[in-house]
Amino acid sequence: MEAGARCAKLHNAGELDARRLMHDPALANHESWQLFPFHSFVDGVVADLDISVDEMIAFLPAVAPPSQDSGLPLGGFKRWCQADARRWAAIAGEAKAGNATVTPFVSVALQASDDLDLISEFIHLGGSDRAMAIHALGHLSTTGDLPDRTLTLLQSLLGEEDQVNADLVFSASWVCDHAAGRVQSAYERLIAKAAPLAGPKTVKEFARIPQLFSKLLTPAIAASVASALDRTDLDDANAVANLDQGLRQLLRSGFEKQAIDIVSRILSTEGHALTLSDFDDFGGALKAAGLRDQTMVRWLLSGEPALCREMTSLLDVMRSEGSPLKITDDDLALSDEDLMYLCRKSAGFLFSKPVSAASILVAVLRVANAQVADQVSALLFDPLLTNFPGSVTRYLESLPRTDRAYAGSRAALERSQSYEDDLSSVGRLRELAPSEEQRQTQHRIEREEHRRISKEASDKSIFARIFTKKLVLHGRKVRSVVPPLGSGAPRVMETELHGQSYSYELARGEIADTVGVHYQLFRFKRERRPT
Amino acid sequence: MKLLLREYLGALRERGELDAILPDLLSALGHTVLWRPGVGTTQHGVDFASVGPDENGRRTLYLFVIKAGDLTRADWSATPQGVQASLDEILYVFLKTRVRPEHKKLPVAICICFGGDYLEPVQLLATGYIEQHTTSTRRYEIWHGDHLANALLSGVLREDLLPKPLRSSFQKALAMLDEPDVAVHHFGRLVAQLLERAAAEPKAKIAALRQLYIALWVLYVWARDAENLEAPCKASELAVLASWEMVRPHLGKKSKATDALLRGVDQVIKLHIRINESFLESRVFPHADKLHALSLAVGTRRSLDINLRLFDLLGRLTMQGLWLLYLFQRATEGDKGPLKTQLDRYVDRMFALIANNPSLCLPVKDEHATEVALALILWSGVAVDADDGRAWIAEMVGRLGFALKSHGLYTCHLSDYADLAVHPVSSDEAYRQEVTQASTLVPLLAAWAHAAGLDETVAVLDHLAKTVLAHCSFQTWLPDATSEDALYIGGATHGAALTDLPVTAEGVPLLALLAEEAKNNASFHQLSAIRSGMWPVALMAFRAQRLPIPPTFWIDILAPAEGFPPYADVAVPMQLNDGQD
Repeated sequence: MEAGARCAKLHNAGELDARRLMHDPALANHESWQLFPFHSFVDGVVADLDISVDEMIAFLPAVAPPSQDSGLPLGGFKRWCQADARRWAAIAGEAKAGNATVTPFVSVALQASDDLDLISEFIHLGGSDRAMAIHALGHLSTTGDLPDRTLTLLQSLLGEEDQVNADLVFSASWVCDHAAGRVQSAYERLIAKAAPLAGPKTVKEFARIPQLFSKLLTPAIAASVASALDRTDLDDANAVANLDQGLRQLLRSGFEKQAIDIVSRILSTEGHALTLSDFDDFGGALKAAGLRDQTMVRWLLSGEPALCREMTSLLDVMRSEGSPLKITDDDLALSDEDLMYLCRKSAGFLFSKPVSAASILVAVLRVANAQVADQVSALLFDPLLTNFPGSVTRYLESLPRTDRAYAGSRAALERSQSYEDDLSSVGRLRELAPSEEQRQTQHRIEREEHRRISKEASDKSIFARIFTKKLVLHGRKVRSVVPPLGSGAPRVMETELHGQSYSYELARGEIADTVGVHYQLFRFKRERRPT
Repeated sequence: MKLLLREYLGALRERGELDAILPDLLSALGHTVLWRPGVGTTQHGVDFASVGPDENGRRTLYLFVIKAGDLTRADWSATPQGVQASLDEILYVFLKTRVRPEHKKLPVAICICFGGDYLEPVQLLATGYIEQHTTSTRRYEIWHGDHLANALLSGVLREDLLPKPLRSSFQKALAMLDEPDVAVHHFGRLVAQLLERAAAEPKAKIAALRQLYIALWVLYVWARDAENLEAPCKASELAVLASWEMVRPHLGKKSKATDALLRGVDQVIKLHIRINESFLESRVFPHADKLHALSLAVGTRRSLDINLRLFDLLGRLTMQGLWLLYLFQRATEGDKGPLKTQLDRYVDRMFALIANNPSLCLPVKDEHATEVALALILWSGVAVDADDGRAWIAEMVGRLGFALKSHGLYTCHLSDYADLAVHPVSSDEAYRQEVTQASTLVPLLAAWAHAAGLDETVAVLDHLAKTVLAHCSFQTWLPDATSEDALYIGGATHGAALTDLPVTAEGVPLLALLAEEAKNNASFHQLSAIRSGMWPVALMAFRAQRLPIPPTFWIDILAPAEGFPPYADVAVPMQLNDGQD
C-alpha cells in the first residue's frame, strides 16, 4: 500500500500518469496468489489519486478487474470518497440516474458518505439498490450517534423479506461490533425483533453471529440467536452445518445451556433424519468445554432415543471400549429409581463403549445406598462384565481402594471371576463342536466377507488416490532401485515392512446369545423413566 | 478288524460291559445262555453260564468268571472277589449244589473271561491252579481279549454275516470318530446294509440285530476312549430305529423268533439309553448350572452354531427324559420312586440348561420346533414347577417378536447350513417374508401359551400373525397311511401338512382344530410304535426325520377338563380381500 501511495503522490505531482496502468498488458494476467499484494498496491494508489469521478470509475476496473477469485478492491476507493464528499455524492447521483457503470461502487460510496438520508433514499429504491444500501449501513463510521441512528434505521426496515432481514442482521452486527458496545441495547432490540421473523437466510446470519461477532453475545443476544436457530431448516444440509458451527461458537462463548437446549430440542423432535453425528462441531466444543459427560447423563435421563442413539459419537473414536466419563455427585442428585434407570440406560445406549458405560455405573455406586449398590453391581456383571471381561475388568480393577465405588465394583468383579472360572471348568467338549462341513462353510463365508470388506476399504482409502498400489509377494523388506535424478548411479532403497493390527473386544453375548443381548439392550433403551 | 475288536474288548471298563456282549457272542457260537446275572449277584462264583459245543463239537457246560480289562495278579488273588476265590467257589459249592440235573452229565469248561491281556505274572499262578484242578470231565479255559475277538469274528461277526463292504463301513465309522458326522454317515451305511441283508427272515434279522448291537458297542467304547461320544449318540438313534424297522412286521405274532427280535430291540434301546446317559451325565449335567458354559463350549465364533448345537442337545436330553418317563409308566410301585427322582432331575437339568444358555430361548431353525415340543411334553409329563415352562414359552415369543421386528436372528424355515450361516442376508421386508413363509413353531407356541394361560404371550403372537407374519402359513404335520413304512428309516416323504392354522388372540380355534384333526388322525394310532406302546420310538423317529411332533401326541395334555369344543363352533371366518366375511 505504501508503494501505491507513493505512486499516487507522483501522479498527483505530475511526474507520472497512473492512468497508463489501465492499458498495461502486464497487469492482465496475474496469478491468483498474487492478488492480495496487488490489490493492496491498487488500494494505496486509488486512495490518494487525484482524478475525476469518471476517470476513477474507468481506472479501477481496468487496473484490477474483478475475477472469480475476487471483486474490485474498494478499500482505497472508500478512502478516496471520504476525502471529498463531492465524489460519493456524484456516484450516488449517477446511480440514481440509472448509470450502470457506477453500480460496483455505490455501496462503498454510500459507506463513505455516512449520510443516512441518502442511504434511506437508496433503500426505498428497492432491489439491488436496497441491498447495497443495507450493506453500506453496516460499514459507516462509528462516531457520534451515527451507530445508534443506523441501528434505528435498520430495525425499521425489518419485514417479511428473508434476504433483506438477513442483510439487516449482518449489518447491525457489524455496526454494533465496531461501535465498541455503545449501541448494545439497540442491537439487542433489533436482534430480538428479527429472530421470530427469521427465514433460512436470516437464520444463517444468526448462526454466524457467535462465529463472527462473539464479543456481542450477551444473554439477551444469545437467547435471540437460539430462538432463530430453532427455525433452522433441518432438511438443508448446509443450514445444519451452519447451525452446528453456530452452536459450537455459542458453547465457546459460554452459552452452553442455550446450545445444548437447541440440540436437545432438535434431536427430540420428529420429522427429520438428524443425529448427533450431524453436530460434530458442537460435539467437539462440548467435549472441549468439559460439559460432554454431564450432558450425556442429562440425555440418558431424558431417555430420548434420538439424543441417546448416537451418543457414542461424542466419545473417543480411537478407544474402542470408550474412556471413563467424569461424573460428579452433583450430577447424580437423583432418586434411587432414577439412579437405576440411568444405569440401565447407560448400559443400553453405551454398550458398545463398555468402559464409558461402566464409569457411569461406578459413579452411581459412589452415591448409592446398599440396595441400589447391589443392583448396580449386578448390572456391572451382566451385561457389562459378561460381555466385555477384558476392558471392563481392567477399568474396575484400576479403581483405588479409597474409591467409594470400590466395594460395589469388587462384588461385580468377584462374580465375574466366578463366571469365568465356570467357563474354564468345562474344558473341551468335542461333542458340541461344529462339524467339519460347517466349519468349512463358515470359513468360506468369512473369507468372502473379508475380501469384500478389504476391497471396500481399499476403494474408500484416501491413500488410493495418492499412491499406486503394489503387491509384495514375499519377504519382510522391499528393495527398490531408484533411478538417478540427473547423472549418477541408481540408488537402492530398502524399506522394512511392519505389521499393522487393530484389535477390539467383541461382546461375548454376540456369540453366546445374540438375540438375548440385543433384546436386553432394546428393553433398556425403551424403558420409560419412572414418574 | 481283529485289531479293532481287541482294542474294543480291552477298553471295556466294567464287568457289566463284557456281560453285555457275551450272550450274543455265545449265541452266535451255538450256545444256549442259561442265565445272565444282575449287578452284584453271583451264583457262587459263576458270573455267566451257557451250554454249547466245544471245539470238538461236544456239548459242554460253560461256567464263566468275568473280569474287566487285563488279568493281573491282584485280580487273581484279591479277596473276596478275586478270580481264584471265584474258581474255588465254583469248585466247592456251585458244581456240587447248583448244576441242574439235565446238565450234570455234561463236561464242564470253567472259563476265565476278560477283555484285556493275560499278563505273565498271573499266568504262572493260573497255570498252576488249572493244572491242579483239571480232571477228565472238568477243564479250564482262558478267554482273553484275543480269544474273544476271534470268537466274535468266527461267530456273530463272521465273514458270511458281516462281509467286506459292511466291515469297511464299520471300520470307517470307527476311524472317523473325531468327525462324528462322517462316522455316523458310515455307521448309517452299515445299518442300511444290515437292513438290506436282513430282509424278511427272522433268523437273518436276529443275526443282524446282534451285529448292530455289537457294532454299536464297539463304536461306543472306542468313542469313549477318544473322549468324543457324539458319534455313538447319533449312531444309537439310528440303531434303535433300524432295529424297530426290523421287528415291526413281527409285532403281535407269538413266536420264539419274535421274542428273540424283541429282546434284541430291547438290548439296542438299553444301549442307546446307556450311551446317552453317559454323555449327559459326564458332559452336560455337570455344567448345566453354569451361565453360558455349554454355549461357549461349542467353541465357535458364530451364534448360529451355538443355537443349532444346543437345540440338538436339548432334543437329546428330552428324549432321554422321555425314555425315563416311559420306563416310569411301566415300572412297579417299588421302582417308581428312584425313577421319579431321576425324572425330576432331568426336568430340573433341562430348565437349568435353558436358563443358563439363553440361546435356547429362540431356535433359528423352525425345524427345532420338534425339540421345543419334546421339551414341553417332558415338562408337562413330569408335572414339576409350572413356572419354568411358562416362563420359557413367554421368553421365546418375546424374543421371536423382537428378532422379527429388528431383523435379527429370527426363526426361519431355512434348513441348509449354508443358508442359515448368512441369515439374515438383509433387513428388507422381501427377504423376511421369503424366509418366514411357513412356520410350525408359532402355532406350537400359540397352542401351549393359550393352554398355559399366558394371555399376554398369546396377544403377542396374535399381533405377529396380523403384522410381520401376516403372510406366513402356520402349519403342523400328521402321519398318514404311508407313514408307517417310511417313518423309522426315512426315504419317501410321507404324512400330511395341516396348513393355515389360526393363530389368534382367542386361542380356542387353534386348539379345537388341532384336537379335531388329532381325533380323526387314525394313521397316528396305527403306527407300530404307538400301537405297541413304544411311543418313545415314534418320537425318536419324528425327531430323526425332522418332522414336527404331531399334535395327536400332545393335544390331550392341553385339553381343559371339559374338553375342546367342536371346531365348527369356534372356527375363524375366512376374510376375503375386501374385508367382508
